[in-house]
Amino acid sequence: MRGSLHIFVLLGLLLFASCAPRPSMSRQVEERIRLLSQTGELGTVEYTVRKAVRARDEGEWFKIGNRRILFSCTARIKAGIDLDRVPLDKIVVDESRHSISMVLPHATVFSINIPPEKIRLEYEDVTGFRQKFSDQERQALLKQGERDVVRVLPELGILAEAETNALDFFHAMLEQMGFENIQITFE
Amino acid sequence: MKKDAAIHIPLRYLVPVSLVLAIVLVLLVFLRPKRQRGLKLDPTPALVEQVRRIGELSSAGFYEELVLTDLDDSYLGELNRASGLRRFIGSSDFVVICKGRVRAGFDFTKVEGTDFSVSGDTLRLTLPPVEVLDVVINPADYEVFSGHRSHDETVAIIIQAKQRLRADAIDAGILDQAELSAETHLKRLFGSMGYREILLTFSKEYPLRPDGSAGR
Repeated sequence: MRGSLHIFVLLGLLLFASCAPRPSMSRQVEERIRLLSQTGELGTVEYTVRKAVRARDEGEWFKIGNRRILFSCTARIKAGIDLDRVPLDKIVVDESRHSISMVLPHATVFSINIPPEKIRLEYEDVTGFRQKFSDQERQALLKQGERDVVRVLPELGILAEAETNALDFFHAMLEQMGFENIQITFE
Repeated sequence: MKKDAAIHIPLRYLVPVSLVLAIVLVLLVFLRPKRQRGLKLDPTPALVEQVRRIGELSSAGFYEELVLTDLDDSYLGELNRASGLRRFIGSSDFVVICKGRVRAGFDFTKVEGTDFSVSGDTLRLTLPPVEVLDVVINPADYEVFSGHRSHDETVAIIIQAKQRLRADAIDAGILDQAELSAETHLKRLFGSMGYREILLTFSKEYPLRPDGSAGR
């Protein structure tokens, strides 16, 4: 009898506690660190790159079953010239001949953007007694995919393309400013 | 008496049985397939889908770290939270720590011929409206601190974080900073080309806030 009374009291307390006001937002965001900075990045090319992230887990010998997963993602990569690194003392203007010569720094990658909405889980297969991929495992695979995109960037030719476009950009601008003889080199 | 008889193993069987067990154990441990097991990433190529010529001057950047908590608002989650049971059975809330970057500046492809003129040693340039160029939270930029959600749910949470990041960057003054910085950079560059007077004008068509209201 006394045991039943305890259970009723406990249930009553739980019911009372569950009537507490609900939070106004189901998602809460709290910012920790903020930093605002000045840059001078002239982006001249954007590459859109598709990458499949495919992984399999055959497990240890004592685990029964396999796991496979396939993501597809799209990365947008921007590259160009850092204006902070343009040597201004190497700009030589000859007004009488309408000529200018200047040196630009070599192109660099400014941003790699893999939008979350462009990361799609295409396929997931779990057999036997294995568990589904955890959040941490999915995250680790996507991070590795991102690292792979960064690793192959030099092979994609994005920097050469960025420098070609930068040349065209500066030529067009300097011609509009009235220069006829334009010499631009990269250092 | 009967129990003692049941667990009694004759000594003559004990040695062979132990030997067989030991051999099976050795076979399982040492003669298992030598191929590497565990989670493996298959090599896949990165395919260039599009190459686009752009002309963007990114003149300000914003960096922020966020902690996102996706509360379990189911009845059980509420009960768990309100009753204090989470101390004993754990929480089903989802917590993500993420860091993001925002780039702001000007799209020079929007500059028209009439926006640019030179007269003697005076240069006039009207810049297009300053805008947010990129809001970036990549997979390497966030970390699941606790809880579990499906892939689609995680994506929805990160998209919400990006919206917050963009709004915070605008509130922190990234657009003003981008104008100031662009003015500094362009005046220095054009000044080095021999122009004494550089007149920069900024178009004032600022993008809408995420909540739809106008302004910076």
